[in-house]
Parts: sequence; structure tokens; C-alpha cells
Amino acid sequence: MGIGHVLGVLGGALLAHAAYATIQYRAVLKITEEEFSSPPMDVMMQLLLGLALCMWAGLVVPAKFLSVLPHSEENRIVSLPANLDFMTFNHRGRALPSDPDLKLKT
Amino acid sequence: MAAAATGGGISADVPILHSENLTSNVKSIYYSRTFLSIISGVVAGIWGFTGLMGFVFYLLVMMVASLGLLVKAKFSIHTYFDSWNRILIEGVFGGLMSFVLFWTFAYDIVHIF
Amino acid sequence: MAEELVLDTAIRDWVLVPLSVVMVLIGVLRYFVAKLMRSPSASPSPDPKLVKEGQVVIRARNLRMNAQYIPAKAFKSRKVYYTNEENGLLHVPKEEAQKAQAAMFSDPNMAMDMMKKNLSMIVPQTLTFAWVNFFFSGFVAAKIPFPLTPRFRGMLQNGIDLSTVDVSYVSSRSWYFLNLFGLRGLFSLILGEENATDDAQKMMQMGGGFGGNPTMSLAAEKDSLDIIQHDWALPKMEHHAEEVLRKLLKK
Repeated sequence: MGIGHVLGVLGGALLAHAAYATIQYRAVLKITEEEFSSPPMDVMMQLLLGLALCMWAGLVVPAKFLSVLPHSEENRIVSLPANLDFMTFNHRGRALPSDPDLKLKT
Repeated sequence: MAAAATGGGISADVPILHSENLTSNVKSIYYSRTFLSIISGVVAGIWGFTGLMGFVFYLLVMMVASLGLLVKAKFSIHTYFDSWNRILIEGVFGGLMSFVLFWTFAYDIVHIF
Repeated sequence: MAEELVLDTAIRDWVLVPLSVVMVLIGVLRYFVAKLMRSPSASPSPDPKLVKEGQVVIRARNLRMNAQYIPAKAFKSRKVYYTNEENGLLHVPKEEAQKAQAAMFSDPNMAMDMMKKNLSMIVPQTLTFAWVNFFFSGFVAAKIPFPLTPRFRGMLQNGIDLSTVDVSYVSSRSWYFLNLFGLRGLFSLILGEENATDDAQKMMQMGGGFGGNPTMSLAAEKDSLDIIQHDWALPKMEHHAEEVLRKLLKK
């Protein structure tokens, strides 16, 4: 449960409250026999705020984007194989130029 | 340096993508879009949009969502996706059914009774 | 269409909301029941022959997907290894294929599995529909907030025969159908992406259960491997290698 979930729940609660307020407003209108044109100002503010919160939550909660480029930093294989006995260092890679920029990400 | 040079050479010939990560990214987009289509349906219903206005609202929300996704991808689409369409239209029409259902639901609860 | 219907708020509280909530809960329930039914069948160790054939299919698929990264000759020899008519891995003799199919149809386990899948889909659906029909028939339960042509009357006003009511009013039975199709998105959110209890998808899976026996998938994989166009993506690779080595020599 991160901050995104909290925001989403908060936004949902705001929307629910806005719905309830609008129902009440319509009931009042029915008594005073006025026509409904649009919800009152504070309800609209609640709606917009709830929408903004939920949008934030909807963008933050799903998994982070992962890079699709094979050469990016994130996709470098950093874990060592489980069995180190089979690692060889005496291979033709020694003859190739080593890349000084290459660093293991921790 | 040599590795980087070869890498550049290969990707100039044929784009090599990390397909698992691409699937995960697209899934993440679908998740965002579905959630937002439900939420925007509820908002449109409570607001009392009818007719064309609601669909315009949906498209508007989806456009803002695209913008948000763009920010989430830190403005470098090609690091995370293979094309712009992924961010702009992926999942927009899939969410339409959910939007209509929740729009109707919220509209009915609030307005017609 | 001019007149507006005035609906009782009790309809909202006792038809519209309960109906939707029950639909959601039934979807969740169905998911968990299907999961419970599925898990025991996975535990007995499967037939080694089936596993072997499945692995061969996966290997052939890998070859097909990564075909452009190996030279033409290498691809051709691998292709022959998989698809030749005498002892290729993917080649299944005709008689054996028929035998396998017959065996599959007579296998009680398979039929049982399919029954389970079927039941978990059809039983709750029938029950909910019967429940909706019994308790909620004949209500005007909802109104869609956008105009539609009269063509949709049959779809949206299933169960009330009033031609004077505006088309955008929805009967309770039709609201059930709308829920059935529209809640897919919600299910994919709360049950996880791949577990969306989508009926169409279920239908597909069922069809796949029929045609998805291993010999069939072997043959299908063979066909697709046969028609693939080999197009080597790295013809410049040797030049790259040469460059690197020359650079080395210069040092």
C-alpha cells in the first residue's frame, strides 16, 4: 500500500461524497420545483479533485515502465550465477578491449 | 566502447527490443486506462453529462491520461515503447465499454430517480 | 419521447444497485471457484510424452521467433531437423495422429476437465439470469445518458413491451446484460490482468481445449515453420567483427 493507493481511495471517497451531495441537491430541487442545469459549485470542485487524485493514483499504482532497449543500464544482468565453479576467465574475451565505463549496478 | 559501437550498429539494422519489458509496460498502460475509464465514467455520470458531451469528456480524460503516461515515461517514448501509438491509443477503445457502463450507473443513481 | 418517466427511488435502492453489486460479487466468486477447481488437477504428474511434445513445440517456436538472427544455412538445417518427413521432431504420422485424437476423446479425465470449465461458467450465469428474471422482471431500471435509434429497443428493453417508452430507458433484464459485458474492465482490475473472467475468452479457451491436443499443435507448429520466410537480420555482423578485430590489431 503506497501513497498511490491512499490517493486513489481518497479520490474514490471524494467521488462518492460528490454523488451523495448531488442526490441531496436534486432532492432539494424537486421540492422547490426548479430545473436541474448542473451540479453546485462545490460538488464540481469535488469531482475535479477526485478525478485528479484518481488519475494520479491510476498513473502511479501500475508497474513502473521498464526499458525495452537491450543496452540500457536497467537491463544489465548483474546477478552472478549460482554455481561459481563453472565460471571461466580464460577465454577470448580477454583479448577484446575492456570497457572502462562498464560498471555493475548494485 | 567497442560493445557500444557494435550495439549501435545492430540496432541500426534491426530494432532489438526487450519483449518481456514491453509487455509489462503495455500491461501497465492497460491498467491505467481501465481504471481511468471507470473513474471518468463515474465523474461523467455524477456531473450529469448526456449524449455526445460524455464521449467528449471521455476522450478528454484519455488525452490527459496520455499526457500523464508521457510524463511517466519521462518523455522518452522510445526507451520504453516501440511506437507512439502505444501511449496514445492503446486501451482507449477497450475502456469505452467500462466507461459507458459506469457512466450509465452513476447517472442513473444520481439523476433519474 | 418527450415525456420523462418518473421512477421510484426504491427501484434504485432495491433493483439497480443490488443487481450490479451481485454481478460483481458473482464474478469474483466465479473466479475463485474456478481457481479452486483448477488447482487439484494440476498436481498429478503429467504424462511424460505430453511434456516432451510440449517442449518440442516450445523449441520450434523459439526457432521460428528468432529465425532472423541466425544465418540462412543454420536456419535451414534446424528447420529440416524439425520438419522433415521421416524423423523430424514435429512430424507426426497420419495413423498416429488419428489414434491420438480418438484417445483424447475417450479419455475421461479430459472430458471431466472440460465439464468443470463449462460448469464454472454456465452454472453461475444461468443462476443469476434466473434470479434476475424471477425477482426483477419488468422494471424500468435505468436510463442510458445518450440517445439511441429505435433499433436498440429489443436489446435494451428486453422484458417490457411498451413501444411508447423512449429507447434510452433500460429494463432490468437488459441492465443485467449490460453488466455482463461491461464489467470486464473492473474484473481485470480487481482480479489481475490475465484473470479477467471474460466470457468470450472462456469460450476461446474451451475451443482451444478441444483442438489443443499436443499432436495438433505439433502439426500446426510444423506448418508455420514450413511457411516462414527466412530473412537474416545481421548480414553486417561479420563486418562489425572484422572492425573490432582490426582495431585490436592496430593497438
